[in-house]
Amino acid sequence: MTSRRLDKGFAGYRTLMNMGGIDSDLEELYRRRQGAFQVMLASVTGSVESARDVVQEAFAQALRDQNGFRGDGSLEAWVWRIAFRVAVGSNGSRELSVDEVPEVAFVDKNADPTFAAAVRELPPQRRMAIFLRYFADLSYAEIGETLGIAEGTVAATLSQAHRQLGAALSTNEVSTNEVMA
Amino acid sequence: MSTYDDTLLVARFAALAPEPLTGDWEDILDRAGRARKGRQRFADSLQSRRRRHLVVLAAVVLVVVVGAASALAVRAYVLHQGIVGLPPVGAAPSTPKSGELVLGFTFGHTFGDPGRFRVSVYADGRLISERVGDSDRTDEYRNSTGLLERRLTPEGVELVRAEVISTGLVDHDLHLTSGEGLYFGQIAFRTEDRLVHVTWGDVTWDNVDPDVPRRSPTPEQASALIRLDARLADPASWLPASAWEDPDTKAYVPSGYSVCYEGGQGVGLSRVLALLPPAAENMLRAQENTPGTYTNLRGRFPIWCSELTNEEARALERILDAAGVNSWKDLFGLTYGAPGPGPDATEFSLTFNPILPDQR
Repeated sequence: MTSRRLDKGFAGYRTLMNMGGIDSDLEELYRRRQGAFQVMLASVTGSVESARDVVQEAFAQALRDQNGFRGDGSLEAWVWRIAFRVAVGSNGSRELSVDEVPEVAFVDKNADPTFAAAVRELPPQRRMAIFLRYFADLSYAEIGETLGIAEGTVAATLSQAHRQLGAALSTNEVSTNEVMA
Repeated sequence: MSTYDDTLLVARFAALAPEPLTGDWEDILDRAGRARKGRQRFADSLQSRRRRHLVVLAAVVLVVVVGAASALAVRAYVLHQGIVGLPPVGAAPSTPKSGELVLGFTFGHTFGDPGRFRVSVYADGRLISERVGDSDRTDEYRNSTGLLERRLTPEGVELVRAEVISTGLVDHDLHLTSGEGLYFGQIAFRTEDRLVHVTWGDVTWDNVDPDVPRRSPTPEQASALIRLDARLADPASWLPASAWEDPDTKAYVPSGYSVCYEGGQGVGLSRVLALLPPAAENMLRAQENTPGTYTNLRGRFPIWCSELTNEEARALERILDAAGVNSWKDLFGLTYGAPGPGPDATEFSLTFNPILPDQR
């Protein structure tokens, strides 16, 4: 009776005892960047507590599924992709499709409401790119790898996001200042 | 202001960034696990979990109280009914411990576990079957049968194989959706050099790519599968006497259990083990474990399984009982657990899953 549902994340499993390769690289990445992972993923999960669990699980999956890392891109971008899949899964039960961008939002809904509202109005890919840039502190190349888009597209996406935010915030903040004056 | 300044964005995002919590690399190592074996066994240990969580609370009210039994009563229990839980002391495990799977068949009679039938036929003649009960019913199908064992002759094995082949569905791998009266199920059928897999319904089986394209079943395919289910559920009705080495139905007594434990979504191994009584924690920490995850409608859950002998499983049972941990026997077997804070959650749960011959 070999029948049973298996989680996709389990399919690429291999034992830690036989792994040598990128354990230390993953550990170094974790120690250096786990804070940024938590901050960014809290934008997906809604709290830093759940984001921490997602980060833990994502790095554990990365350790288990090292054969899923082909070495033709950055290790960090690969872990980010795993982390987003885990984060989306933690909110429900669905998987993140290849070209799907997770929804992101600020955890604190009350802080800086004008800015939060302007960011909320960005299309999902622009919003994600800007979160990856300013919360996760990723380079254009790493954002491109994480989202599966070209570096030039990242630059264009961020530029459009800047313009849209500029327009929204200049209007709103000027209006607010005028009222306050 | 036509664009928003990069420096301003850095400052505003920084002001909105939550404070990260302390990391724990050791917890990640725990979650990733260490040396382990028996992935197949782990996979099968998850066999009911996808649906089990949907009914676990309802199942609590179905607690079967098994009192202390005399030796004679225990023997009768073993002989005439499958074991739901651990085997009584003295029950001899089925031999040989391992066996080559000739046919694995699972047939869902609902979209959930209730009513699920499965049977495994081994090259050594063992036919091991189980029907999960349906708590909505009041007839004999209400309770699970537990794992039952009968013995076929080589001729009997060939007749069962011929019955499966007669469906015309096992020439090659075939993956269908539900529909036409089918809910979910699978056939694993050994040919000369491999197991052919036929699956149907919204499930993913071990050794089958979860993203494999699926076609709608034709009425003829569905009819063939429904008929096969009826034939395999009652082989005594059509197999000749010469097909049986031992036609008596006995309890299948495993030679070990895969004990699986979990603490809910996002809870790591160390935290799960720390929730157990110390003696149980120490016992399981000393065992190898296989980590994994499973997904049901409430989300994705990490879980770990360790292989124990019957004696070790009983020792663990005694430890948990002595510590006063809640336990219940339900449609699926023996489970220990402590309730969590939510209306549909357990703080941890630990289940005992019998190991089948092809999982050795």
